[in-house]
Formats: sequence, C-alpha cells, structure tokens
Amino acid sequence: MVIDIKLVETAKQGDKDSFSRVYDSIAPDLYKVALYTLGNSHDAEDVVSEAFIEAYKGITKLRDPTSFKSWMLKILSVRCKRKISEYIKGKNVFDIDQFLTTLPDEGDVSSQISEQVTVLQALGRLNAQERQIVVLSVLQGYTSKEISVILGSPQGTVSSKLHRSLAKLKGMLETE
Amino acid sequence: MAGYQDERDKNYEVKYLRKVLGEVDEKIAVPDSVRGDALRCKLDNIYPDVPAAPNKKSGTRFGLHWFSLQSGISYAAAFALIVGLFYGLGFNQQPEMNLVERNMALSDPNASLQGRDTSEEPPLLLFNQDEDVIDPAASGDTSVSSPALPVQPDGSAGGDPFANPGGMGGGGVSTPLGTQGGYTYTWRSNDATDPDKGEFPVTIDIVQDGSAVIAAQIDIPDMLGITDCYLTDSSLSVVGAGTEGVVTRSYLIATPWAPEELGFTVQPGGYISSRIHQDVIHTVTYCEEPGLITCETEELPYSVSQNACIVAALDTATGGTAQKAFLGADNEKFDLYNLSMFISYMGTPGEEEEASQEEDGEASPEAEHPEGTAPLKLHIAQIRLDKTDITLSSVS
Repeated sequence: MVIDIKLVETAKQGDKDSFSRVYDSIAPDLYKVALYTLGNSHDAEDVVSEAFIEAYKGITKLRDPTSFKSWMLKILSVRCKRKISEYIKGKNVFDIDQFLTTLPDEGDVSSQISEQVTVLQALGRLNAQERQIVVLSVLQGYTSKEISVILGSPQGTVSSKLHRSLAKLKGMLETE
Repeated sequence: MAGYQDERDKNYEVKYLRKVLGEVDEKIAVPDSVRGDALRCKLDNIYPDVPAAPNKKSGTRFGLHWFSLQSGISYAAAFALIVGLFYGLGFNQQPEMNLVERNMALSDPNASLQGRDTSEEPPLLLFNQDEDVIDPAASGDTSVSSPALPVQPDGSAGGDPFANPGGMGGGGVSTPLGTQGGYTYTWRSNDATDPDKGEFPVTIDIVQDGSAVIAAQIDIPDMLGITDCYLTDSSLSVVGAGTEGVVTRSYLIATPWAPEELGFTVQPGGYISSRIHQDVIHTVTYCEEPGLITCETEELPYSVSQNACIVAALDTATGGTAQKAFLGADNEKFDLYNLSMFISYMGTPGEEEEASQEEDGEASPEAEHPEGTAPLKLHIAQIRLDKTDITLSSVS
C-alpha cells in the first residue's frame, strides 16, 4: 500500500475528492484495526467514519504527507479510546461472531477455522488497548516506537504492554 | 492447536499470530459505509462547497478608469494629510483610536485576573464598535479583568465558561487579555468556514500601544476559545477548551514582537478552574471518561465513582509540566488554592470510622446494610501543589 503524496498535498488544500481517494487506500487497514480493537463492526464503522471527518477537518495540520497513514491511525486511536471509555459503563464484548460472519465458508478447512476462532477468542480476552497494540504490531507491522506515536503513550509503556499481551496470548493458547 | 505447539517450540509466537490473524484479516469484508465514496457524502453535508465568488474582472477601459480614480483619491488624501499636519489642523487631537491600557495584576493569587478600575475609561478595545460593545463598567463588574475570562467555576457568573462574548467569527471583534510593557494582548476566534483562517481557531494579537500596529500574532491550533489568561513580566499564558480537552499554553514575551512557546498541557475533561502561584499555573478538569486519561493516576480512597479529577501544572518560568489524575472524583466539589486543592467526593465509610463504630458497640454499616448498600460518606482529599509536584496528601 503506497500513499499518493500528491493526493495528500491536494487534500491539504481542501480538495475532498483527493482526500477521499487517499483515504480509500488505507480504509481497510483503519477499519480492521478498529474492528480488532473494539470487537464489533458497528463501533468500528462509527469510529472510522468519525476519524475520516476529523482527519479532513485537520489535514492542514499534517506536516509530513508520507506519515498520512500513521497520522490517521493516531486520530482513529483517539476515537477508539473515547469509544472504549463508553464501554467502562456498558461492558464491551469482543464479538467473535462478527469476525466469523465476515469470513466466507467456501474453501476453508474446518481445522483452520477452529484455529482462527481459538486465536480470536484469546485476542478477545485481552483488553481493547492491548488488542490494539497487538494488531498494530503483529498485523500492521509497526514498531513499538511508531505505536507509541500513534497511541500517544510512552514507548516503554507500549513495549511492556506488547510484551505482556503476547505473553498472555501465549499462555491462553497453550492451555487450549 | 498442534500448529501453535510447533511454532511455540521455535518461539515463534509472533509469526504464528501473524499467520493466523493474517488469514482472518484477509477475509474481513470492509463495509461500504467506511469507503471513501460513502464518507465523501458526509463531508459534503458538513462542509458544503462554497461557490467561488464571481471574479469581477473589469474591462480594460473601466479598470484604467477605476485605477485613475483610486489613485486620485489616494493622492488627494495624502496631500490633505500632509497639509493638515503641516498647518496643525488638529489631527493629533483626535481621541485615541481604540486601545485602552489595562494593567493587570495577574500575579495576584486571589484572582486569576485583576483589572484596574475602568469606570472612567472609554470602552475597551473593539475594532468594530458596531458589534457587541463590551463595557465592564456599564455592567458594574470591574473586578472582572476581561469579558471573556473570569467566568469562574463557582457558578457565580454562570453560562458557558468557554464562551467568547467578544470574539466574532472571522476575527471581527477582539477580546483584550491585558497590557504589558507597552503592548496590548488581545485574542479573537477565527471563523472555521473561512479558508484563510480556519486552520487556527484562535489567534492572539500583540498590538503595540499608541501605534495600534500588530507586532506579532500567535496562532493557537488546538484551542477553541480562551477562558483564563495570566500575564506576567515575561510570559503570557492562556487556558481554554480544545478539541482534545482543556489546553493551557504559555508563551515567553520578553520580546513581544517575537513570542516563543514555553510549554503546554492538554488534559481531558471539562474545565473546573485554574490558578497561578509562583509562576506555576494549575489547571483542574473533571473527566467522566477515564479511558481518555493517559497521565499518571492515583485512586482516591473509599471512592465509588469511576470519574476523575485531573490536575495539570505548567511552570511559566521554565516551561516544565506535570499532570496527574485522581480517580474516584464525582464532581461534588473542587477547591483550588495556591498550595493545595481539595476534592470533595462521596465514598464508602473509612476503615477507622467502621472500627470506632464497632468499638462503641454500634452496628457497622455492613451489618445495617448487609447487601452493600451502606450510606455513602463525604470524603475530602487534600492535594498538595508544590510547583509541578502534585501529590495526594491526606483524606479526611
């Protein structure tokens, strides 16, 4: 996935089409990070669309066009945090069914699916921030330093949380 | 889980996770609602395209004519001015344009801002006197240094503490912050829909007294309005609501024509109060979304609330900052002083109290209320404020 720098530049000048197009190139990643973090597609859709609006509003503040994706992830992270804070009152549940319903059944070996379910279940037992860090690291390939910038947390905190989360996952998967 | 066991033996947890989650990830269907095309419509609703103003290009002949007319008027005005000055026709006897000096005793710990009596002075600085003239003398409230600033959280003033009574969209009206060293500091909110000014919602103008020339401008990117201002000999600090919470920013104004940013704090929640003591500003917010808190936290003993009181410190001499959240505050009462602040909150009875009740032969709250419905007691936590050190001192 390559960010079109020219599109970012024109988006910075307020061009909505350019912004939509450059956003489209990273929309799947944003949605998936939100889905893994929040655990359900409704909230994930909400935070992604909120992040889209907020990003357009503040794109003039983006200094380095090459960091468009991490900048968007940062905005998304703040939106996810707000959503998570609502869960404190209303107990968030990591809904595996929502992941599975998005998986086509055709061509999948049942053992492979059960393996995926097991991993998703283990992931669901982590808290939202731990999930977010694991997904940014494992799936999106960001380093602890980059994640710390995205989440606005100290690098040491991110490193230790990532380490702890992976250890938790390891423990949970070993008992399966 | 044989696959996992194999990978685990090789210590490949991450690779294994990447493999399995990658398979899941590839198959996740991204809904159309988060596609750029769908969200583009939302943008159109929120930020409708403003049709470009018709370009009033005039014909060459008219343009030349207009140019000549404009030039003629300019030359005539300049000539009249020179003649007037030469013959002393009273140009210099005009009343002061609009700048009114206001001294502010901002280091006074008893008030966030103190303005001197302006009862005999003309109205405050207003660039457009047709709109919203602000005159504290007329309102009878001269203890208030600035129309926008002194809405204190004790509710005496009421209303939205972040309201900008003077600031109009697009910088139409400025609100004075104070005068220091021959310069007047004013702020204005910019119209977000104005493409030239939407980038910075708030701008502080530093205006040279007498000449009314803007010496410098400070664009504040993350503040929607200014509610408190602290002006010392060498620094200008402002507190206001921002997109991410309450923002406190401090600027070095030793050279007013080239202000430098000293430091800033951003804290989630709603504004409660702020205060300056020994060059350190303490800002207090109340947050009902603990998930937003990223700073150091400390739990208030016996509390039952999940909300938090956040205290931020900004040293206007060094630019040093600190922030601490006290979990369990419930917006019962907050009192901010120079060296301490007090948080009143409802909580379960303390252990000492329960023990004394048992010794006295009285039934414990749990005995009276076996299902954990013991009546809540008011607790008061004292927070020590020593420059940028913020510590929970005691709870009574």
